[in-house]
Amino acid sequence: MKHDILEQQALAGLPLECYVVDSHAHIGTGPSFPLYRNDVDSFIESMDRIGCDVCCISPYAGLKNYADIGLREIVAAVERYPDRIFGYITADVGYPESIERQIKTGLAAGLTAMKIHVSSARLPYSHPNYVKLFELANEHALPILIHTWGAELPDLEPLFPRYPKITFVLGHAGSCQREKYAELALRYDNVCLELCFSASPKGIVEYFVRRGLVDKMLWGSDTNFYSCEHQIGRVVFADIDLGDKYKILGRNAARLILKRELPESYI
Amino acid sequence: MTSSKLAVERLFACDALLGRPPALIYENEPTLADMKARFERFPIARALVRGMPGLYTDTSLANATLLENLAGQDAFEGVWMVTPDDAAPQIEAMAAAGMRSVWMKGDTNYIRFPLYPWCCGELFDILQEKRIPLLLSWRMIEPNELHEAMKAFPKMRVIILDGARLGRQVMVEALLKTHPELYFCFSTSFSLHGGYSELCKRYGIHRWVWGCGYPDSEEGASVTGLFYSGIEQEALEAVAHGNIERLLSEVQI
Repeated sequence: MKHDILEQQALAGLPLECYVVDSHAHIGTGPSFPLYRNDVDSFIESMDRIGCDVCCISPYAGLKNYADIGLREIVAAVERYPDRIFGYITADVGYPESIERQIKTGLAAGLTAMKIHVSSARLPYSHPNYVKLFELANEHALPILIHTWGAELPDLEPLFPRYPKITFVLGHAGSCQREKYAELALRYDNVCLELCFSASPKGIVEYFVRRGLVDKMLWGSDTNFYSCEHQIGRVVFADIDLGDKYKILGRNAARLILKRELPESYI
Repeated sequence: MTSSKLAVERLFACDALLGRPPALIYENEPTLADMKARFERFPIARALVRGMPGLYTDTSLANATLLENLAGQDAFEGVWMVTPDDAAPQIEAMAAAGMRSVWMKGDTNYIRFPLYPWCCGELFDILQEKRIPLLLSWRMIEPNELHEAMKAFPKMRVIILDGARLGRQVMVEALLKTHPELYFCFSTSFSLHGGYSELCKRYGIHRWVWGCGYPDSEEGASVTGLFYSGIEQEALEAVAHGNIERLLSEVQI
């Protein structure tokens, strides 16, 4: 059995020597999910072990309508590790009068992407409370990482053409209805797929690559609820070309979320 | 499997399922050949294997699946499926089949049986005496029943598979503190940030085995989850293979 260079590094427990971006992580937690570690220093330790360059984090408080607290948390994390931590803006969808102020505060702090979660106010993404959020994101061409688990896709689809400057990143893509995720990403230029899923079902990465979506796939771990050490193995050992792994692990996220140019020599 | 350097010499997967599922939800049917092919990419040298039909139908089909598929090789060892009643003949059958561990499903044939000693005591008495590990899926048991069972049979060795997906293992930890012969599988179903290293710190390195969720899950995730976990080399070797090898070597049949 011949292993590519990333597989060899992983089997040796060595950091991956390519550009890696974790596009889906959190700081903070909910009452049902007490954690062992929940500090940005521990994230950096894990990132260093796997060779992850940048981790994109949203504050859990901000996904539960405590966005002002969440913004302080995420700004502090970015300030502590400006080259390693990329923060998502969150907004209190349950309090629509706060949304514009919170997004603008996040933008002023240098944050350039958003995260939304359907459970935050128990409102579907089609609810009018989201309109201001999407309008501002479209105005500023912000990527939005969106928690999905299949059922939300019908609510989301009308938004894709309505807000063409937003890059819609469908979180947990393939958690169910993988065909539907693939169809949406193929149909709309501004839709891409983030892969984290703790159960790590066999074959999802290969499926999306076979559907021609390799340039729209983003690796994410959902740290701190899952571990990045675990989720990275789904892409490293996927039965796909090495060049495709480089795209999924980091290059796509650099282009679509971080909006950073990488030198061609930088794998 | 060859590679220039490996984080551990070998892995022993403790949570594999083999055999025909009710519907083909996998790319390939979970056969011995498929499992071998998937494990070949990794240093997964050995596995404990349960019969898939046992999840859906009766124990005899689960065990027949193992007898049919695992004969004539040593790397993949079957886990005999049992029910609480008529325990002695079942353990004799297990031993005759060359197996050293058992598993139960709490709702076999939709008639649920609890783990309480009044129901399972006859079986647990034999497992304890012979030091035969009992594999239980966390999804299929009531924690309080397990607690009562291990209170009554404190030397019975129980390995928990399929731990809760999110957050600390609060209930499992409470049981780990109380029952020194309780073991827990690090696998796909439990991959919390910092989880493996913290559990090793809290309870030592000998309470854990490793699994990769075959056939449902990507083996690669469980492999990197362990290899990158940051635990010391001694702990890595213990979790990867040492602990389960020790438990099986201590079976007295």
